[in-house]
Amino acid sequence: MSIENNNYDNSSDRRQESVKAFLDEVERKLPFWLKDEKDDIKDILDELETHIWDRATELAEGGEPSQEQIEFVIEQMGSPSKIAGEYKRRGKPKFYITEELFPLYQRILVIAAVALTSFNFIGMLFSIGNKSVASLFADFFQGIFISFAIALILITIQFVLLSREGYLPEDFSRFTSRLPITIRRFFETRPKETTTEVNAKSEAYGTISHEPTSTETEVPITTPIVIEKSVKPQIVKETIIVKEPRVAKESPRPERVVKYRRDLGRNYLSEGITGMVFGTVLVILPFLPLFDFMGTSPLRYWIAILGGISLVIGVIRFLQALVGRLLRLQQGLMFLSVFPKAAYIPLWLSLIRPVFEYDGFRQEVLKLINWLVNNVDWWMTYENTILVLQIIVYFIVAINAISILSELIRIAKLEAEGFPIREVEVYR
Amino acid sequence: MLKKVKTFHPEALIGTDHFRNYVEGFESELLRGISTVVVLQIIKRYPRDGIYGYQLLKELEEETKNVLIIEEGTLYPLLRKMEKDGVLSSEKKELSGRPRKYYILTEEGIKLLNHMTGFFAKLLEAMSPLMDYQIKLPEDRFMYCPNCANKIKLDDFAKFCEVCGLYIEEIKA
Repeated sequence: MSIENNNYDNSSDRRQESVKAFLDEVERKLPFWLKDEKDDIKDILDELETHIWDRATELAEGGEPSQEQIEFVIEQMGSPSKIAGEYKRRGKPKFYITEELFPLYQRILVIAAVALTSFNFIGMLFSIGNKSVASLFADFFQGIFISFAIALILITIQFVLLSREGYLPEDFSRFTSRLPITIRRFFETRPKETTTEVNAKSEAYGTISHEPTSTETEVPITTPIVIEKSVKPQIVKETIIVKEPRVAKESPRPERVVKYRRDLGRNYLSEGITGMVFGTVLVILPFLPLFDFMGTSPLRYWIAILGGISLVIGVIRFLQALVGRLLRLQQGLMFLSVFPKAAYIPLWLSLIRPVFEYDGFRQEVLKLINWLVNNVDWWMTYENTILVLQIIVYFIVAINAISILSELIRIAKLEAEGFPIREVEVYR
Repeated sequence: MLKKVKTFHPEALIGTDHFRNYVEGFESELLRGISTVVVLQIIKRYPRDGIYGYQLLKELEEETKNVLIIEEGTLYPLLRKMEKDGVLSSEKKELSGRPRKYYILTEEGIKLLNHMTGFFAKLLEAMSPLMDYQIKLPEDRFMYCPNCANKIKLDDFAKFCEVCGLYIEEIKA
């Protein structure tokens, strides 16, 4: 009897294991944006599990399903990749970027274009006097073209990846929740409005006094509120925003439910995108003909190194945004970001003192200050300028040190408390 | 659907991967939209208590005599998407010791379903001259909005199409 029981238990364990392995595989393949929603994931997996047991119990004609029956049902469910892939099927494809993400993509491109043009323009101002007007403008446009082409490729790749994962603009709200409202609005999308040339008539309109001409589309647009208030009948013949009509019957006010959600509390996505674009620009710009005025100055390499570090941090932040609430991976990436941040410190210090026995950057800065004091109407003395520079550098170094410390504290807090909780309003 | 179709002869059209994939791709594209209408139509039958996923699939199999098959695992992403879109609402209940999610059509969902069924019916009707079938729509009981094809009961007092807002009272008369 006990042997039979053991056999039964073993079989039960194996069935459970098969179901669990299938569900684990589905969970692993779910899109990144969904991995942040633990409650939703539990719902999804619970539903699939219940379905498997229901179907298997039916195959067993109401009895205990066998291992083979469980495996048969799992096979019928479809592959975990396909199930998980269905959750990525969000948004309308528009080229390789979804229609929903396209406005954000365009906005970021415009900002990148403005930033790059400004950088190149500043570079051009520094080159005045060193080059002919023709080559000045040629370098200016070449700089814009090359840097924008690179930014375009980088930003497009990021948005194609986000579209493939099924991201929608509203998913970014969890990354931007701690940002000022002005920046948050940047990530928000307004409801799409369509405009149509209309010749509207309402209930109160009565007899039609105006026959539509062949050039007008007759799409009466209704606003029942206008009808109920018996506003003076009027013929509207202009561009009108077409929205779904409101139903005259008042629907019950949605119940406000306060839910507590766990949140990373950081805007990793925008930090990632900004860091990658900014970093790439800094890496490329010093080597464009536009910056020839710097000659063989080591400061070109200093700027490129600064850009390289920003680029690395940007990539890490972008990965953090994609990883979401996978604790260990998130902590690993946070820890990884400490190294490039730490690299900023010697880089900045190298402007005011020799670092690793290299004094090229400091010498170059001293030359630049000397040139400023002697050739430009500079309002400070040589010594004071160096002092101000030192204060700025130490300030930046201190900020970096604090940022590294806070990153380490955040890793420890994640270990101890899990993801921070934020309150969100849900309307049902 | 094609996954249950066997290839009887190696030289049959779907004997080659290329055409089998082509046929499968066509079926899956066509079924994607139709599945939504059919799933909602079944959920509509349970306005009070709702229906859970497995029960829905069973009903779908029975009603369509196993012709319209939704791959079991892909039904749930579809339901979840419709819930997120406000077409469905859900309620969790326990039955036979297992948690189940019962889906119900929302008020907006009912309107959207009317539009979908109307649009689908008008589409079939419009295609019929090209096909070898005939469609007779129940136009003695319903009208189809000339602007958006929404299905509207003739005995409804609505003066406007609920979906596109077209003034329909004159058209109804």
